Amino acid sequence: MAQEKRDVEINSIQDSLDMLTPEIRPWPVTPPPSAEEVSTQVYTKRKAEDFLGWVEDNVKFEKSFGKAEALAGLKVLDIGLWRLGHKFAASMLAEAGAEVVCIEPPGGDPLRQLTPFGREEYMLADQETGEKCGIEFIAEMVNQYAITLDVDTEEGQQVFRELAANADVVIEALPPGYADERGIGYRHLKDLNPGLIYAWTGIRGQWGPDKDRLSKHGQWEIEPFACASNAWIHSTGYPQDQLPRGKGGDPTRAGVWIADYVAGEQVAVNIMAALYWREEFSGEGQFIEVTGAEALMDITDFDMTWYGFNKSIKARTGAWDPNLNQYEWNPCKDGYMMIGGQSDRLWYRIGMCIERDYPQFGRLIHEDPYLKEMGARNALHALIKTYTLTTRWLRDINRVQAEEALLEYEIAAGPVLFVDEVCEFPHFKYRPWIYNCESDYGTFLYPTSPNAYQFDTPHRLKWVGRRLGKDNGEIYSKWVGYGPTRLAELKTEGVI
Amino acid sequence: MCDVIWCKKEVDGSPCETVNYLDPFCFWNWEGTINCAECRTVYYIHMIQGHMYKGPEERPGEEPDTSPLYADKPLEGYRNYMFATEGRTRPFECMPRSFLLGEADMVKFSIRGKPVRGWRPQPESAGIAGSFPYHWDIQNLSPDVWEEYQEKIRKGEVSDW
Ligand SMILES: [Zn+2]
Ligand SMILES: [Zn+2]
Repeated sequence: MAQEKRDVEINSIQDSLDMLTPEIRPWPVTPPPSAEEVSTQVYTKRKAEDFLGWVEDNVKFEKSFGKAEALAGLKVLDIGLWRLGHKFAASMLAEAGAEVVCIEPPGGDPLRQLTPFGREEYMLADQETGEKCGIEFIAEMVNQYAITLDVDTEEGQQVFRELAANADVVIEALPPGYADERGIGYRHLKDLNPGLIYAWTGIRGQWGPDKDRLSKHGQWEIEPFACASNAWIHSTGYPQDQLPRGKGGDPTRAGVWIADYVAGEQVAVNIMAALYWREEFSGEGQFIEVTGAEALMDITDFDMTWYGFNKSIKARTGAWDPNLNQYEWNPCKDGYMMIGGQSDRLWYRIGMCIERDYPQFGRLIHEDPYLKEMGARNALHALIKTYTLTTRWLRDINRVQAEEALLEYEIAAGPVLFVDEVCEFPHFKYRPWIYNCESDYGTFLYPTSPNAYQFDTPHRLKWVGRRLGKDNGEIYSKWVGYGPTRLAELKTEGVI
Repeated sequence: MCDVIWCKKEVDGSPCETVNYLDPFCFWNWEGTINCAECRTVYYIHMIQGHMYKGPEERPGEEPDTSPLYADKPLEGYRNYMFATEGRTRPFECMPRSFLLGEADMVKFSIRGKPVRGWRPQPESAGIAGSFPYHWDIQNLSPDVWEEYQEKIRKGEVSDW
């Protein structure tokens, strides 16, 4: 837990490299608040000790490890390269207790090699072999067993069919038609295993005029194409009119492979529904296809409806919500501050709070007759005026000062946090959303599953990504009964 | 002064009294000249981290680098200048594509024949994203559209879906 602070002198990058280890840079730097403190300082104030004590007794993360798992016994086979969607879907099922086996080619998923700006020092080394692996791969392989198999060989295809004959679910993210061409697609597997639920996930789809393709150099389409093929990218970033002329106004990326995550979650929902259908009604599995492009399109708000209404193209509005006032983040002394209001109650409370330091705010905002009507407040010019004056207040204070002042008036307010602050945020350390686990690659700081707070069958992280082929022995023996001799043979042939 | 320019320039013997709002994402760090939306006096400002490091200083005879997005007159019933008022405020067109940069499309009715708020009385200078702050009283604010709407109702061209 928290260790003593010490001063370090950084003169070159060399001095900072081993600061990534938990011995030098511990987490948490400060301990989380105690249950006692939270109860007396927060819950009692709200007269909610009873209810919240009952909730905490049942859902606190530490209590989850002895509990049952909802998907215990469900066998899932996961195969794909270059993508996070299938890995995320498989991890969600694995966090709920399914036995999930991820198949990589004997050379490993190329994702193992991806690291920010290609910098090896950000990769983690296998504690036994010293082999480096990218953090993204490790983080997205939660609770999955790692085996190798070359499905480009005939023998590998036969092995795959045997594995799939034993599975409840196959999650596949190979290029369209790739599995089918090799005789290991759903059409082939359903004859061996009629109960099999088979989910393919990709970018734009396996079928249709603009279906997923490989480039002539063999490069796969990966996540950004999904973001690009709907209005997602268009909606991010600032409109150029909100920035100094000639200084941007470009759309930006979401910061993460959002389409893969959203598609992955939808894959998991599809699989759960198909399982219910199989168990309760049909007794059979089915084929499922989920694309990143469509998964994102599903959450592009009202953009399409509005276009269908009168051909409007919803503009980017940067940090300002186009439907509400106040509902935005604006710059302050040490970053950005999110403030939420809109209803009369909150609108005037925000003003009362700001007026204490900046009386002009009330004069220009509360006395403006145009801003008294809730609907009228949402006009673009009203946002410009309100946020200019709000920022006039924010420029002199830090995020924490703004938050304290606004919370005193019971206003929804929260700083835009950097990730180091997130990891040290008392709230997240307390629940805890952030936690340490031991992995093949050393201590690993990770966010708890958001599905961890269930009374009876909480989802949980047991391990993160493993070294390539780590579970070959165990899984091939358990699933298809291969002994050491057979495995050695497959190894020599380069099949695993 | 701060990130508004409350213009006090003498115009015809009385101060201008226009509040020009310097919107935060544009002006947080910015140096250059900007006009008052009403009297068009050009001011030099240098803003650092939201603070007026220098200015506003009058720069007579100079062309402004930019304009405020919005300005109003609290002493005159908050009379205002919308964005994209030519020669006074900056445009805010939100136009994503060049071929859409022509005439503002004054959509009067939705595909169900119900009036939508995309037509005059908004001045053309308000652009397609223009919006008005007061109660949406079609009958008084836009009698011609109101008439057209009544006509549509008579003809049975208005539907709920
Ligand atoms: Zn997870
Ligand atoms: Zn003026």
